Amino acid sequence: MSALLLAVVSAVVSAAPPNAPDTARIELGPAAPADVVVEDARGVVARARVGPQATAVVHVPPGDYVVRTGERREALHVEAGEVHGVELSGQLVSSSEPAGAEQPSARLPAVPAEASVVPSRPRAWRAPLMSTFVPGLGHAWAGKPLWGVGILAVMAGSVTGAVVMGRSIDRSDGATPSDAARSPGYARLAGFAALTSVASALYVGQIFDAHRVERGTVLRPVPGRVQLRFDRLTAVAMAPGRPRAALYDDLSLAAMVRLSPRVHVGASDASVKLGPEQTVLQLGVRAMAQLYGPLPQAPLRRVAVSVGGGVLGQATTRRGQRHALDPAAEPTASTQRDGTAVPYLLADARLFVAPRWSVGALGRLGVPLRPRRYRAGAALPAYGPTIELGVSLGVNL
Amino acid sequence: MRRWLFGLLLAGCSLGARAQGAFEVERDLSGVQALSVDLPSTPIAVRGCDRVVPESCPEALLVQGRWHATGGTPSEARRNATRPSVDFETFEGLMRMSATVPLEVEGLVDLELDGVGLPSDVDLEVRTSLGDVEVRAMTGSVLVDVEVGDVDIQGEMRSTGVHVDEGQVLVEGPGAMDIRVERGGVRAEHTAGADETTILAPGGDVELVLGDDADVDLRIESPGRIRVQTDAFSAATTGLYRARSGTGATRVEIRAGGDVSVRLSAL
Repeated sequence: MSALLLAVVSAVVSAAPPNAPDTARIELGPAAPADVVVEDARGVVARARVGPQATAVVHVPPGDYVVRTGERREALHVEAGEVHGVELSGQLVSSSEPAGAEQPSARLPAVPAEASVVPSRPRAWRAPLMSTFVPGLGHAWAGKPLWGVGILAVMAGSVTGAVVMGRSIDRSDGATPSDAARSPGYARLAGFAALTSVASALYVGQIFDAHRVERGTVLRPVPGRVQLRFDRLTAVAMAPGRPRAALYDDLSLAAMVRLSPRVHVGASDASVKLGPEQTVLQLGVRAMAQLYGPLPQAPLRRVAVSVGGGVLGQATTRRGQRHALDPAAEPTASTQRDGTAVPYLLADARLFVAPRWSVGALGRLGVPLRPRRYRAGAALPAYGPTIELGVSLGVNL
Repeated sequence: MRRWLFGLLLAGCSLGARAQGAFEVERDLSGVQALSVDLPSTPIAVRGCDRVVPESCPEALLVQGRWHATGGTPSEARRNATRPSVDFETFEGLMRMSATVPLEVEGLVDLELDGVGLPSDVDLEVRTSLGDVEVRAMTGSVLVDVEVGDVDIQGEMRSTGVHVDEGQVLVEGPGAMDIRVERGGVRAEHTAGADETTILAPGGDVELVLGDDADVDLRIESPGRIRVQTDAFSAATTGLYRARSGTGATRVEIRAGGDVSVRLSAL
């Protein structure tokens, strides 16, 4: 949820003047330090020095061009409104995506074209450090004061709301028989879960984003081969007694392997839950298909939307020791085991806040085949359809 | 708007059913001098009866209650409500009442006791995690241990011990008192004379009513206001107050985080 919020804020605030509709955009780098020359039939159109920290963006009229790096030459044909990314390792990628929102490093007149040079950028650490201590401060310092104020306001509101709602959850609720007649408090628990999720995802996301803003570079997501992610999925559901509602929180890790640009499969839902005398080991498998997101032909998309499904498994062990009233009798030890499987469908919307890092909003529908266990001995019953919402932090390796 | 709110609440939830399983148990208490009630979270109300009237006070333990349960379907919920049980164990005059919840339904069931009845001279020990505890008309010793919940004990107890993590405590009766409350206040009243009393309430106020203040060794520590008003003692102070009347044979110690008030019941 907060990731989407951040995406909306980002989209609104970062909107730069659009490119002229009669030009195409060629993006160069990042790569090992090199001088790059873009030529057309009449000669040099642009020169740029790129490096690991420096990219170049060149706007050119439609036509045929050659991108030259030393002895290496790449020919390409561009049409108006297209974006062509040139990875200087030799791979040439292109898309018909409309020329986008980023500010170009160099803008050339329609005719004739001229050269541009992109300076290398220093490492950015001040803004993320500031945002670590005061959310939004890094954005304000890096020249985005409205972003900073907006982030700080949303963070303050969500944290304040979460604290207020958290304090309103009465620990003694249910101690008195008449408490059963009181409101179960579904809305209060749901609000608490939503606000804590917003605050945590926004906090992490704005630190990464402060780094991007300070560097002033175009964010190009890196898909990687493996995606590691930390997920928090929460359901507010009925409890058997008093209080009549409870928060069911599931924190887990996943490692997803990218089989193709659109398909990820891997181990998921890994966690250990400790309760009174019991231990729950949880592990699952998951497959996700990307419906929208960064692809070789659209490398600059920052938002990824995926759907998929999986199965979550749990193995529960409860070890107890019962002391007889007879002091001479030995304590009786007992071990009980149980397990469950939860097939589920999952929807995932992610926002890349750094080339490899993303925050996401999740929704999951699952049906446990046996009681599904949470921490502190809480459980949801078998065959009860469960809708969970949550947030996620991921890194592509 | 209401439809939107309903949809918002439906997101992030689990669908299922509730059910109840009522039970009623009667256990012979012949030869039993002490009862230990050790149950998961539930309010507990215990009432003692006078053995002088056997018709209304059988030599038995009467327990009524119900198990609340959830399930993915109504039939599953009803089945879950029948899985746990209340068990009894006896050894040399001591009976223990406890609950057995199978792992398959742990977290899916919740106990609610309607009441426990037994002869008043049986010593009583009550332990639960979440729930108010009410004890009436007992004449033996009473010990209550609760994590969260209010405790209300009134009777002719021989002695009373209370330990509560969070809750309010009210004790009225004769006999020695040992009351410890982490977060909450205490009101204790000696209905006959004064007896050894220790009250520790670092997170609340304390009000102590003495039946008599003769031969009392009184020690009070509190950062709040200390107000003592009896025949033998009179003070309005803060911090530490210590005084003795007569032989000082009856030790009364109070340590509180809030205000402390000590007075005579006759006042």
